[in-house]
Amino acid sequence: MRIELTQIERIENYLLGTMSTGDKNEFEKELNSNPELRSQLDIQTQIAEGIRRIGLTTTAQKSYKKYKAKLLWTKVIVGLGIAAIVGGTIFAVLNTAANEKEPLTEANLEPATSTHDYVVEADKEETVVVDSLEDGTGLIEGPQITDKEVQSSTEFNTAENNNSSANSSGSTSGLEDLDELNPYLETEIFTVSTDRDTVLESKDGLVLYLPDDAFETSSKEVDVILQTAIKTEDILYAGLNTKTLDGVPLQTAGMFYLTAKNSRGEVALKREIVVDIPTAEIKSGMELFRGERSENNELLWTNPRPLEKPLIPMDILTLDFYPPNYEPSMNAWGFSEKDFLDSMYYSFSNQNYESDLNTLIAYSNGDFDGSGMTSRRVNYESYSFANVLPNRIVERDRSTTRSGRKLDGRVSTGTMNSYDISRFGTIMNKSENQPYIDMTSKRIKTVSNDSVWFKVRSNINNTAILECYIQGTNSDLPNAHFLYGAPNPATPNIEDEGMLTLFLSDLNITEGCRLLRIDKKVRKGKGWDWEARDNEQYAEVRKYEFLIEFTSAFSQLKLNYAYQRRQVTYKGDRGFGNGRKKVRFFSPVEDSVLITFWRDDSKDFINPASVKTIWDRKFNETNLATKAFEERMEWIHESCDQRVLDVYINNLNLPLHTVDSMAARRAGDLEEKFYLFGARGEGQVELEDEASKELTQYYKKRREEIINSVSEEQANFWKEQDSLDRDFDSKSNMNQLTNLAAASDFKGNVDRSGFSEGNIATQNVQGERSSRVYRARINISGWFNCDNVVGMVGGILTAPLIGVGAIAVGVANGVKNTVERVKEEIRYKDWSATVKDEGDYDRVNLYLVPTHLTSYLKINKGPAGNYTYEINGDYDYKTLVMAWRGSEIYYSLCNTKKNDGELELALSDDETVKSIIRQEIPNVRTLTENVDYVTLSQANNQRKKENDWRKEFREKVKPAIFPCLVGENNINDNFSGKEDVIVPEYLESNEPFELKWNIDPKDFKMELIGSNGELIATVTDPNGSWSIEDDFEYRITYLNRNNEQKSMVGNIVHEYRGKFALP
Amino acid sequence: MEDKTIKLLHEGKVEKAFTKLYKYFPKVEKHVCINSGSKEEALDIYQEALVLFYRKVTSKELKPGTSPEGFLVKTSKLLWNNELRKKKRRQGKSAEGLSSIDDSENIQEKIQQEEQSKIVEKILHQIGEKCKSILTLFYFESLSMDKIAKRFGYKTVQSAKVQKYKCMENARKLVLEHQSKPEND
Repeated sequence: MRIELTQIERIENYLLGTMSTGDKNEFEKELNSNPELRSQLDIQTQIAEGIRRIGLTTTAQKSYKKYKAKLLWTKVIVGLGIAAIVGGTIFAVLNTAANEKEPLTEANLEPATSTHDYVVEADKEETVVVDSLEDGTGLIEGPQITDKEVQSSTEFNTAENNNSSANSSGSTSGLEDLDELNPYLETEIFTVSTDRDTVLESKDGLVLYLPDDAFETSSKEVDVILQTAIKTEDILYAGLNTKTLDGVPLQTAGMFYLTAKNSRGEVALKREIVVDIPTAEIKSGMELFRGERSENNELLWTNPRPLEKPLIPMDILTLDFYPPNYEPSMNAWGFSEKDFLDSMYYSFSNQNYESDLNTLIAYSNGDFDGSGMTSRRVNYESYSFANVLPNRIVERDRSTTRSGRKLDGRVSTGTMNSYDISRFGTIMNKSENQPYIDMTSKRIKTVSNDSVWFKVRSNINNTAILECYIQGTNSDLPNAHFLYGAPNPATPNIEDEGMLTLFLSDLNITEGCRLLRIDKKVRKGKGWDWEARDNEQYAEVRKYEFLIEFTSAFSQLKLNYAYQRRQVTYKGDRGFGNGRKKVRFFSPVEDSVLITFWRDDSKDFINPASVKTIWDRKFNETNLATKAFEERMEWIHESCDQRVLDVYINNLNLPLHTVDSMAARRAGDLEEKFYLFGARGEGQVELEDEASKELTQYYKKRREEIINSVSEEQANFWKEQDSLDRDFDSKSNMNQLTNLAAASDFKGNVDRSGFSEGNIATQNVQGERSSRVYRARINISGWFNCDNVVGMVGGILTAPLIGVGAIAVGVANGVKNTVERVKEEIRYKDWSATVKDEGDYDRVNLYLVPTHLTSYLKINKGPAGNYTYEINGDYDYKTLVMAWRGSEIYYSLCNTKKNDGELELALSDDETVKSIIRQEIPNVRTLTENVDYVTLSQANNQRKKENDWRKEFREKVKPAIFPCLVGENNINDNFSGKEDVIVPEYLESNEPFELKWNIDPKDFKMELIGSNGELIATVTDPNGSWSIEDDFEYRITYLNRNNEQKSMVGNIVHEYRGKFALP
Repeated sequence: MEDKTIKLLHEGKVEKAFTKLYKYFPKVEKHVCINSGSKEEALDIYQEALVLFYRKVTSKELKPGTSPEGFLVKTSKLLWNNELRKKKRRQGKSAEGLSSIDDSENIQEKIQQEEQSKIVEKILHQIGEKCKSILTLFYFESLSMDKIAKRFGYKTVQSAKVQKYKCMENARKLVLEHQSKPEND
C-alpha cells in the first residue's frame, strides 16, 4: 500500500481508538513533534465529522419523507372509513325499503344471500330488484323496489327448500305448461315492460339485455322466465347432463333456460336477446349449444354456435398486474394492503440494473408569438407520433419566474408535450420548425434553432449530469445575457435577429429523482463554458450543469426557462467598444422542457416503472383494463421481456387476439402460451352496438353500486389494518412505504385506496360480477349450454364436432389432448356399477365427473339394471351418486375404479352434500366463488412478528419481482461456493500479478488502472503474468461456465513491510 | 424518564428518531413563515436543529430532563434569527428588531461549532457518490468493512479498505484545496 494511504489508515485507527497502547503512545509522541501529522489528524477529524453530517442530513431528509408519508397514510385510512360508512348507509336504506313493502321472513333468506338477492317464498309474490333502462335512454337506475313491475319467485324447490315450498309445485298459475322447466332448479321470473329496453341480472350473475319489443306479443308486459345451472351443485341436483345428442362429452361453463310468457301462454322472441354468461376464465372453443330432448326424453345438447367474447373493461386499478409470485409471497410474509404492496413493488424501479439508462424524452414546445419578429415565426402543433399514448401531456406552467416576477404579459402560450421515446426506435426527422431528439448525440434540441438545448452526459450509479446549454455569440452585455447569431456579412451593421437572452427560471423535479447540485459557478451567474463548434466560430455556449440522482427508474424533471430576443443595430464600425449600437428587446418567451428519464427496455425484467405507467386510470376503457389482459400480464411477467409488454401497450387499437400473436413472436419459450391466448379470439374493448353499449353501462353502474356498498365488515377490516399499521410503524417498517412516497406518485395510490374496492370490498359483496363473460345472442327460447367439446369418447367424434374440437389444442386447464390424440391414443375402459337398494329411492342421480373438467356425465341406468360407461383411461373420474327419499338425501362419492361394484349410499343433509360437492367436484368458475379475500387476509394478519427483517426483506422480495434476475443480481454470488478465479490480495514488490483460474474463462478482459486513475493496460490473456510496481486497481470481466457475464473489481497493494517512516 | 427519541438516538436508530421528531416541525414552520421565511427555509432550519440535537444527545451534553420539543423549537428559532441577521446584513440593514431568545443551554456555541462541519460537508459532496457512500456507511452507520466490501462487490475486505483510504485521501485534497483558497462566499 502506498505510504500516504498507510498514513491515513494509521490516523483512522488512532481516531477510532483501535490502536494498541504501544502504537498509540508512539503516535502521540509523533504528533507532538510533527506538525504535519497534527494537521493531517485535524483534517481527518473534520472529514469524519463532515461525513457524519452528511449521514445526519440525509437521514433527516429521509425521515421527513417518511413523516410526510405517514401523514398521507393516515389520510388514506380516514378516507376509507368514510367511504365505508356511506356505503353502509345506502345499503341499510335499501333493505329497509324492501322490508316496508313486505317483510321478508328470515326463513326464506339463505344466510349467504342475505343482501340483494332474489330468493323469495313462492306463494307470496314479492320482492324484486330490477335494473331497468328508462325509455332506452341508457340511463340505468339503481336497484328499485317495485310491487308489480317485476317479480321473482322460487318454484318447485322440492328438494332443497323442503319446508314451506316443498308442495308449492304448480301452485303458481301459469308455469305448469312450461314443460322444459327443470323442477329441481330455482326459477326466476322477471316481469318486464315490452316497450322499453331492459337489463336483467339473475342471481347467478347472468345478465340479459332485452331490447324493447323483443317478443311476439302485443301485451305491455311479459314474464321472462329464467333458470340457471351454473353452480356445480345446481347442475348435479337438477340431474343435468353435459353430453351432446351424439354422446360426446362437453365441458360446461354453465347452462340456462330462458323463455317468456304472457297471460295467454308462452310468447316467442321477435328480436335478439343478448345473454352474458359470467366466467372466471375464458376457454377456447366455448360455444353455445342448444338443448334438445333425446329419444328417452333426456335433455342433451346440439347445434353449437360460436360465442362472442367481448372484453369488458373494468376499473384498471382493480386488476392485478403484479408479477405472479409477488402478492402471494408478500401475503405469506404478512403484507396484504394494496398500498403497501404497490409501494414496495414500485420502489424496485430504482434498482441499479445493468442496462443503461435511457434518457431523454421530452419536449418543450414554444412559439415566438407576439415578439414582433418578422422571420422564423414558428407554429407548433402538438405532434402526434404513431403509437405514442397521449397520456403525459402536461400543461405548460408559464406563470412567473423564480424571482416571482411576472414575465411580460405577452408571453406566448402553448402546451408542452412530452414523448416517451423508449417506445419508438426512431424519432421523427429533424424538421426546421420542430424540436427533436437527436439520437446520435442524445441531445434534446429545442425550438430556438439550437439556442437552447439539453444533453445528458453520463449516468453512473443512478446519477446523471443534465447539461443545459444556451448558445449565443460574443457576450458583451453587462448582465451576462448573451447574443446569438453571427453577423451577416451582407449587413455587417445589423445583427441577425436570432439573439437571445436567457433566464433560467426554475427547475422542478416532478418525480423519481432529486437534484444533488447545480453547477456552482452557474448558480452565481458567473462562469462560462466555452465549447468550440466547427461551423460556428462565434458560438459561445453557456452551460448549466445539474447533477441528478435517480431514485426511480422513471423520473421526470421540468425546467422552466425564458428567453428574450434582441436586435442590435450598430452605427459605424462594429466591434468591441466601437461605434454606437441600438438594442431593441422583444417580449420574453417563457418555455419549459420536461425531461423524462427511463431505464432502457430490458429483456431480463419487466420494469415496475412501466407497470406503474399503465396501471393507471388513464387506461380505463382500453384493452388493458380487462380481466383478459390481467391474465396475460401474468405471462408477460413470466417472459421477463419488456418488449412483450410493450406490444400490448402499443397496440391498443387492435383486437387482443391479434396482439397475442404479435406478442407470441417475441415471447421466446412462451410463444405457445400467447398463441393459445390468441386462439381464444378475444376481441377488444369497443362499444359497437346498442346492446354492448347498454351492457357496458350496466356493468359500470353495477361496479359503482358495489363500491358504494362496502359493508361494515370491510370497514372493520380496514380499521384493523389501520391499527396493524400503527403497530407496523412502531416496528420501524415504514421504510418501504416511504420509498413509495419518494419514488413514485403517492397521490395516485391515495386515489386508489380511497377507492379500494379491489380485492376487498367487492369480492365479498354477493353478486359481484365477473368481468369476463361469454356473450350469446339468442332468438329462440329454450335450454342453452355454454360448452366446449371434450374428446373423451372414441369413435364418435362427429363431423361438425371435429370442427369444434379441433380448436381444442389442449383444452384449458392443461388437459393434454388434441384431436389427433383423441383418435389415436385414448384408451377406453368399460366401467360399471350398481346402487345398493336403488328401488328404495324416489330419484337417483349418478354422475361420472372427470376430476379436472367441468364435465358432468349423468349415467342412465341400462336395461340390465346397472350403470355402464366407456371411460377415458387418461382421466381420473369421481363417481357421485345422490338419491332422494322423501325429504331425505343420500349420497356416495368415490374415486372411480374400473368397476365400482355396488355403491352404498349414506344418509346426509343438503348442507353437507353441497359442501362436499363444492370441495370435491370441479366447479364452473365464476368470480363469485373465488376465495374470500377478507377471510384470507385476516388469516394472514397474524403478522409482523419479526423485528429485524427490514434489511433482508428487499432481497427476499426481489426474486418474486424479478424472477429472471435472481442470481445474476446477487453480489453475494462472488462470495459463495468455489470461486472461478483467485486473485492475489497483496504482492511483494517485483512479484508478478497472476490469476489462478478454476475454470476456463471466455471473453476475458482485464483493465489495470494505476493509483492516479489512468489505465495502465488492457489485457485479454487470462493466464498471463504482469509486473506492475505501483498499487493498482483491476477490473475483470469474463464469461463463466454457464456463459454468464461475470465481473469483479479490486485493489492490489504492494505490501509495505518496513517500519513506518515519515516521508 | 428519558424521552423515547433520546433513547433511540443513543441506540443509533437515527432515522426513526428523526421521523418522530418531525412532529414538532409544524411549529417551527409556522414560526419561520411568520417571520418572512419560506417552507423550504423552515425545513433547512429544522434539519439543522435535528443535527444539533443529535450532537447534543450523542455527546451527552444534553441536560437531563430537557424536552426534545423545547430544544428543537428553541434551536430552530435561534438558527432562524441568525439567518435573518445574515440576510439583513446582506441587504445592508441593521439586525435590530430581532427579539432575543433565551440561550441558557449555550446552543449558540454549538451552532458555531457545527459551522465548520457544515463547510466540510459541502466540500465532501464533491468526492463522488461511491466514496460518499463508503465513508458514510463506515463513519455514520458504523458498518463493518466486511459488509461494506460485500455491498460494493469488492473481492476482499482489504480492497475495500484501500478504496476507503483513497476516498479519504481525495477528501483531504479537497478540504486542503478549499482551505488554501481565500473564502469566496
